[in-house]
Amino acid sequence: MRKLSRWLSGPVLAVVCLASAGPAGAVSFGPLAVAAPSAIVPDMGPTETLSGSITLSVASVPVLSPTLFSLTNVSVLASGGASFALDPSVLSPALGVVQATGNFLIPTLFLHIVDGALNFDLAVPNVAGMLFFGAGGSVVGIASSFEIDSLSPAGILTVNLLAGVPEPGTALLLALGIAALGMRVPKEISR
Amino acid sequence: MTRSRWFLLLPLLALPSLGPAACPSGGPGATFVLQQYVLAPGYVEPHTPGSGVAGVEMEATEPVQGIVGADPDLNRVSYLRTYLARAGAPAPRAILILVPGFLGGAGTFSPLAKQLVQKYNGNIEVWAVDRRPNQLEDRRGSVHTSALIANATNDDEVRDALYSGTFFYLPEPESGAIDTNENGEVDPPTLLPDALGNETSYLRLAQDDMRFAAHWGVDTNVRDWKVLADNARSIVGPQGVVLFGGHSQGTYWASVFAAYDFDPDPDVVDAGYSHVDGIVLLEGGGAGGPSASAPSFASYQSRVASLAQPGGPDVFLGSFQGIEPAILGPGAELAGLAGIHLPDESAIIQRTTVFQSPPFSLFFAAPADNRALIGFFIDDDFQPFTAFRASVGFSADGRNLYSPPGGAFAAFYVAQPNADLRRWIDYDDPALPSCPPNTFNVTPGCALLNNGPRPLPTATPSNWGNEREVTSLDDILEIQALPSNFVEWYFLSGRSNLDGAYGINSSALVAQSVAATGSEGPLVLTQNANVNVPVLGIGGSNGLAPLESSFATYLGSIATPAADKEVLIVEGYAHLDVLTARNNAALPTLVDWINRQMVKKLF
Repeated sequence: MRKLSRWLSGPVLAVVCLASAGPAGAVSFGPLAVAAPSAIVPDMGPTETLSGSITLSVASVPVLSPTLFSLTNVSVLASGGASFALDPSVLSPALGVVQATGNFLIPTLFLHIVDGALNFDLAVPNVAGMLFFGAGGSVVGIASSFEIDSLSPAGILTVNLLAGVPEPGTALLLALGIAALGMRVPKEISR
Repeated sequence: MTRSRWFLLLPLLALPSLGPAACPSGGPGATFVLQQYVLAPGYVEPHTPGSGVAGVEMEATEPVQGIVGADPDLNRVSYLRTYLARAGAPAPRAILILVPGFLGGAGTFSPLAKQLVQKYNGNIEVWAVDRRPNQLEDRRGSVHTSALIANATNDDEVRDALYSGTFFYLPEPESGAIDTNENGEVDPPTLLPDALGNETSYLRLAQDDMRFAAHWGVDTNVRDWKVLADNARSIVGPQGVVLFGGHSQGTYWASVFAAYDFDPDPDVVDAGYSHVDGIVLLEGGGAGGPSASAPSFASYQSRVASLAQPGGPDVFLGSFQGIEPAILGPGAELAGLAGIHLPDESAIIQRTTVFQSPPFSLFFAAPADNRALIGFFIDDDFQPFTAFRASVGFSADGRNLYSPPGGAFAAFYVAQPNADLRRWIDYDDPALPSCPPNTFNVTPGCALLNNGPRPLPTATPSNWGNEREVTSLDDILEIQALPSNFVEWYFLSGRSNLDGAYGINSSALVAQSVAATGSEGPLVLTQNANVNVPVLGIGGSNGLAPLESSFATYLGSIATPAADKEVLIVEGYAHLDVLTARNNAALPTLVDWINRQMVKKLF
């Protein structure tokens, strides 16, 4: 498989795990395990699968109205070796609002990426997705999909991300989430 | 579902100075942070040339026409737009509008704006505004010089280009007393085609060329900026964020914008703060209360009429401590170009009549190279005025005479001549002298001085902490010759000073105006106590807003909840460093604050 780092012209380094504080008095959920078919799908070139975990916090649960939430820890590794974490230079790098339906929007998601010799911050605007609620309004899963223009021959990188509590019920929810988000599931994963 | 799409963003490349440039070099991951000088329709002030209001519109004099054309429309607002080129990408979620300070141009915000846009990967734009007189700066000499340099094939041609620009703005005296290019001759002034098609040298405006500026006070400025704020809102949408801020005296302008009532009907309020989602105060505490000398409505009208009359009081600042901004401005542009293109050569500007005369000759007596001259002018250790200081390094290759604080001056060093040219040590050079082992008032002095412990937040503001060197001289050089440049050549003082007497509250004037005319009148600062949007203040411990108390008067005068009033003091930063520092230490707080305002808008 072609490495993500090759899209960015550099070899691979290690995973970085960085955390940030959630909303005060918030309820924390996770770490939620990144699950298939999470992947980075380029316009040109092979897909990279994603693994790792995401921790988040919600200001209050159950979510009955628009509520503050944030990702408090992102530790994601692409199969090509690139790692994704929250940008440590921003105090609240993944602050957003979740609706009662579970739909959420993070106006700007600040990531830090280590990809071989490249070590850089990347802000991703308008990251939308869905939280999946379990008993008592607890968060059992998260799904999101967004695109990044690599400014390279790889073209647009579509990032599909799903993470959840590793239970059969959650898997069903995530499957529904995939459908709801209309993700571009890579062929080699969907088979 | 619509997915967001964004660019990978890697360390900032050398950027084209202006305009939507061609694709940047650097390959995959290169950034597309660009800058564009925008000149847009502003508020239609009826006395201003181009308003079309019969019987009220004032004429443009020939020198004004020589700069902007025979039939000018001066009701325009200009700004330096910093943004990310991103075809097909969504609109930015936030736009930050910034107003520069005393004698400052929009270019002063350039380094901070680039860092902010880069950090947000384009999800924010920064619009740094210039006040109206920026369009009256005769930049032909600087543009001409830049064009010649762009086509130069060797240093001799670059040098000739710089002399050509110099002789446009600062010609050699006919007496031959000054021989700038050291050719033994008196060179004629450089002539260039002006907007009327005449061959002219520098068209420096006189007070009577700008009598229409009697009507360019707070009202006209804030109405210009309301146009921008409304334009910004149309871009970011109702769930987006429009922020308004300023630096130094620009914080006064930001606070009066928020406090202004734009609707002339006494029964209707259209407050400035309702058009924005937050206020940013950089190295300034905003406006204060009215002075006891604030004139009555009748007196106000009389003084405006005087300002508009030929031979009346000054409408712009002709001189500041002996320095003429209309000379300093173009001189800075050429000095910036010289510092970039011939950094190690003898400073050309220092060999002109102006710099051979007081006050420049007193402060900048030591022959320096082109780069060091700008360093001496702006560095916090050599610039006598705190308001003009950035921390760009030091010069230790000669004697530095310590001058203690006094009068309008802070403590500073006066560089003395050495056997060669004085040279500059950059901000990140490990050889910068610190104290100890050096002593602050003994040659060479200190670039890095400890100004003592931090006072209590409520104490009277004073400098404290360990000074830092954080601003690249290269960045300062680059700013000088932007169209939205570093210096405001015609800094409005007449009407602005008159309006300034009312501080943040002109309610008494408004009441008199309503009684006399039924309208709220020419200056409607009535909404400050109702301002309820979040405010972020950022100061530098080595600047003009070194403590939380620097912002206390303004923050105490508005209705914003305490939780939405935030102040950051950056230790060691001088007045300009909050705008110009590389790896700006204020950026994380600013980014986080803006981010939170974005999230608030989603509720």
